[in-house]
Amino acid sequence: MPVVMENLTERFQRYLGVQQAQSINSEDLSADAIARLMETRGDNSALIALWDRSQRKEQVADYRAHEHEPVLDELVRVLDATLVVQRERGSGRPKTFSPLFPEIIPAVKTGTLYRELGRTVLDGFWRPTDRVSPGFLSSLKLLIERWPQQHPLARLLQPLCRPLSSPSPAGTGNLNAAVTVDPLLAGWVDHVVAQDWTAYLKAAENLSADEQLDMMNALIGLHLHVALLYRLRGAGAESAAPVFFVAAARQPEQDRTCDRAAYNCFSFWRDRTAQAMRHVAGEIVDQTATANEELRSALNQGSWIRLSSWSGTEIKESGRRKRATTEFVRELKATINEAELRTPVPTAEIARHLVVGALYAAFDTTSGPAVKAKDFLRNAGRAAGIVGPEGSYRRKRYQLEDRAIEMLVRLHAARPAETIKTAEDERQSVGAWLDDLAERYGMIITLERERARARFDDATSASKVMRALRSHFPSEQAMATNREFLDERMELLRCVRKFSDASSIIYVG
Amino acid sequence: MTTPSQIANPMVDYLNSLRTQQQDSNATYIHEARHEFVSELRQRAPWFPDEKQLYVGTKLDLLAADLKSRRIELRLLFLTGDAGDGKTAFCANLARQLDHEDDLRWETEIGPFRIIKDASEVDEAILSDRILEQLRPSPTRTLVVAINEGRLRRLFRSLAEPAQSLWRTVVEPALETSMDEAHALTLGEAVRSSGVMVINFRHRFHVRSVTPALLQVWTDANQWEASPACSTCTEKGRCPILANVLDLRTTSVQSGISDVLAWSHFSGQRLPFRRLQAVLALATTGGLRCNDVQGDALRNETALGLLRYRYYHAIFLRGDLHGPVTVQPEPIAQTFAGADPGYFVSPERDDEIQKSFGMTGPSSSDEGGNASWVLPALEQQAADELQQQLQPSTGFEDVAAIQEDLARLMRYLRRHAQFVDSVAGGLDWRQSLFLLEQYAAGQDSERKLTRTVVEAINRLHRVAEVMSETITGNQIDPAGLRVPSRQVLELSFGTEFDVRADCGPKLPPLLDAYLESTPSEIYLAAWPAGHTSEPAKLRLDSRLIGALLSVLRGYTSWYSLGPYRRDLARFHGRLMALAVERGRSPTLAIRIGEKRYGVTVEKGADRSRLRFEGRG
Repeated sequence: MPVVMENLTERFQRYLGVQQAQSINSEDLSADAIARLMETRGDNSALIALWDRSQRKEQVADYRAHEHEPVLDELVRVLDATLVVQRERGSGRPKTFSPLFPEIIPAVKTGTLYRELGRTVLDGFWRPTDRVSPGFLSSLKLLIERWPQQHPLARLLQPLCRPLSSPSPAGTGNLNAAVTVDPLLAGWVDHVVAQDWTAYLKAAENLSADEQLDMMNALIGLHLHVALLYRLRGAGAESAAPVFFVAAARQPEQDRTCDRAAYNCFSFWRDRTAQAMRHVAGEIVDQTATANEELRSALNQGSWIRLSSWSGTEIKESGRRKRATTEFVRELKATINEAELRTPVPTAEIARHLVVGALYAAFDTTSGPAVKAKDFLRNAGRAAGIVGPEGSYRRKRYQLEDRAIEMLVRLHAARPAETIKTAEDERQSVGAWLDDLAERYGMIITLERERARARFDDATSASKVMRALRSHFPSEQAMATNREFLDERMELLRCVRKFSDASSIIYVG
Repeated sequence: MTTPSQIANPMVDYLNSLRTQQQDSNATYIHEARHEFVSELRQRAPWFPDEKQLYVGTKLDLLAADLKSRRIELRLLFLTGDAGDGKTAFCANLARQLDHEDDLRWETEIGPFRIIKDASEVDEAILSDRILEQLRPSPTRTLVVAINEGRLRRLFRSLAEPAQSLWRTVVEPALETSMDEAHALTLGEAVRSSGVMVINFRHRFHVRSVTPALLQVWTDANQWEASPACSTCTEKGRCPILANVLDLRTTSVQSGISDVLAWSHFSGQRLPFRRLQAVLALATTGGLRCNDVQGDALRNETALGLLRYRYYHAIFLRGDLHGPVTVQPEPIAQTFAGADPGYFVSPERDDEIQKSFGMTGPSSSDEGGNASWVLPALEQQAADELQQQLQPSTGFEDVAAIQEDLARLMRYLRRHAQFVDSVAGGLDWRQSLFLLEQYAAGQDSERKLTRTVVEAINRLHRVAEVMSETITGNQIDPAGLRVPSRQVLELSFGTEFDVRADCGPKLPPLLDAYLESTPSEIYLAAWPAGHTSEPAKLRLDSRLIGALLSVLRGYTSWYSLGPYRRDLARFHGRLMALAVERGRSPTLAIRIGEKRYGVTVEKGADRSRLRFEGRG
């Protein structure tokens, strides 16, 4: 019986705390989380039928084609523009919708459509919040239940979708698994995440249903992004929280220096996915070697022939093709042959390095987990409004979208004063807000602030790898300009009231 | 080069020292640093006024006087506000009234008063002790504490009873952004019974009284054209500073500038004393020093080039002015943008401006005999220079440059014109300020503000007729304000919405006597007709009112509302929620061209279906 190695994709996802490293829309994340929270999904086939010209007449009472078709066209156009999230490639028919009521969330093909990502939100963010602030889940349910009353389209469409009970028992998702091995991440979830969601409930009070949902999507994106950064900081940096520089100019061309820095910072973290996957590959190899005496000694015997015995191992994978195993064996043989020409006797270090490299290469494909994890990092950032600009041809960077500024400001205004992490007397000042952003999310707009500087120093002195971040941050002068761009935008967005040149106070109307 | 006979006017130096963004600033805009600077100026020029002469009084002087005379007996007085509000200045003024001439220390005891001029310099434990001491029966002194709001809040969080009850009855209500009349009366009673008063400078609105007073003091002829400095200056004929002084001395310009500043206040900004005097100082000097005017920097500058240092340009300066003399703007100027007519092109208005100033084109037979206002000398000179260039005989060497110069001159004239009585009317920002100020002053008996807002909102909902008393029950989907594609959805609530305007903060009479204020936090409150409930609220500021006025003039595109679209979407979303809470079931209609189709869902036993009903 060949020895079976753990699947790198699965272990890598568990290591990152991501349920499935896949490209996904933030609205779908919320949808799956809401369906799990409310324990309800629905049959939305009648709604989807509106996109099918041959079927949709069935959905209209006393249908008269000449009169009703233009109305259906207009209705579909509005729904396309505002409610449809995922659609089929060929037909353009919708697959998923904004989750304004649970019944619109399909009960079929949920694994394919939502990739179980709602589990991360419910088990990883909302349930821990409820533990810290009992009653949170009930309040969140009430908020969601009110959406159809406040949203005319939701009100109209809800009766078209049949509710189906969809219980979702609490489980141990991948984020929870990551939290158990990462005390700093666990602390972040218990404090920052829980405080954010409690603040969300308060901030949402004055918002419309659309805005409440948008803000929920953005906050989920922000938490997923930052949680992933925690996991990407790597070995040796476990004691320090991650940091990143974010550009405040609306357009990259307005401030090239900060644009470059924000791009470099994002690239740094994005590229850390490959390092993380290599680290996990190493863990799998070590675990396999520990469990199997022959393989362990093959690593340490200083013999190329003995090392070749690793090519007899299999990788746990579904399906009959065994693509990863084949690729692993091919890669290992090729690298051993190549290395043999250079070194007659492999050291234990070289031997491990080659096996780990072969395992990594077996999964390093264009749609492999490292690439998907990069996508996930980018998409979570985009959902939060901190990664952009939009458009596939433009290089991505950390940048603040208007909606991100609004969300962060609204959350700040809704926080109890004692939870704001700043030394400023005025807790609602922009300075206090910047301190809090640095402390909560590692989001740094300027290092002129003492707290941000301390957080930055802490992070970049944690390990050799993290030290590289230093070179990606812009100069102090450039960051001062970045702050000016932020001030200007906050004024345009009317998020701030200036009581004096030194007192800019957060304002949310 | 400055000739030896020319001397710099100390008033120019003094005014420039009040600017917060001057490049070589010595921070004399801060109250404590000013005394020495003024003494130096007086040594250089004995005719320069002393601090008393430069002082401009406010209602707070009465508080200092009343404290001194014991007309008002307090155990504790908090002065809370932001940097530059005048907290330290008040402490110094009170000390002076009590015949204390030395500088104040962190804590100064003068007779029956103990003054802490800046609580941020004091250890929190000591501060807590001092406050608790004052709360004991019959304290021996009155404690005056200047403290920022954040620290005041933090301080009280750490104090036990009886401070907590004081927090609830006096301090917290005084810090509220908006306070209605009933709460003001309760607060007044609490102040009276506790002997504790909070002067919250964020409630201060002193633009209307302080602006003319400052400009009057600063533009006294004895400091300018009649002074030893300016009277002998060879550049006085083309000096932008002196030209500014002459204009700023007139009541129409003073009132026009007050309007711009008041508009900024009603847009939600605040102008502490330091900000106010900085922006007025910049308007007066244009950011220039005497050396700049007398020296090479501006010697060969055209009249048009000098106009960039005129008050009407300086006050709206939002970015650095580069060369020939670099000037940095005051940050508050960002908030004046909506009142800047420079880039607002209206051919009719431009025509009116040109006529009013007696300006005509080169081919016109009108020689300017109908002018109703005289152009100041520099502007006239700039116009003449340009007119000269436009003569056919000069041959247009650089047409683009001439066009640019003409555009610049026109921008300058638009700005100047809005400060001149006869050509100042007709601008939306002025009308919005008028509506808001009238209402805040309690002089809007005809409910013009409410009616204007309601009519504009109804116009946005495509109500063709004049409807200004209630908000229509047939509305466009509130989300249409955020997502244009949703504008084809219309809601019918089956009820209209009653409205009223609310405003605050209203100060108790006791505080009102000592602080210039106006209830400039103004809201439109609306609720389903016939139901009294917690209303939906829309904050009305001068910029929103300006946008709504343009809606009434026919600009009904929702895009023109800019960031206010979100506010309006929220307001209407809340109206919908209120209607649903009150048992209304809004019906949805889809608009296709001029026709509307009501959309409902018909619930059947096995399935539900849509039903469309045409509505004309």
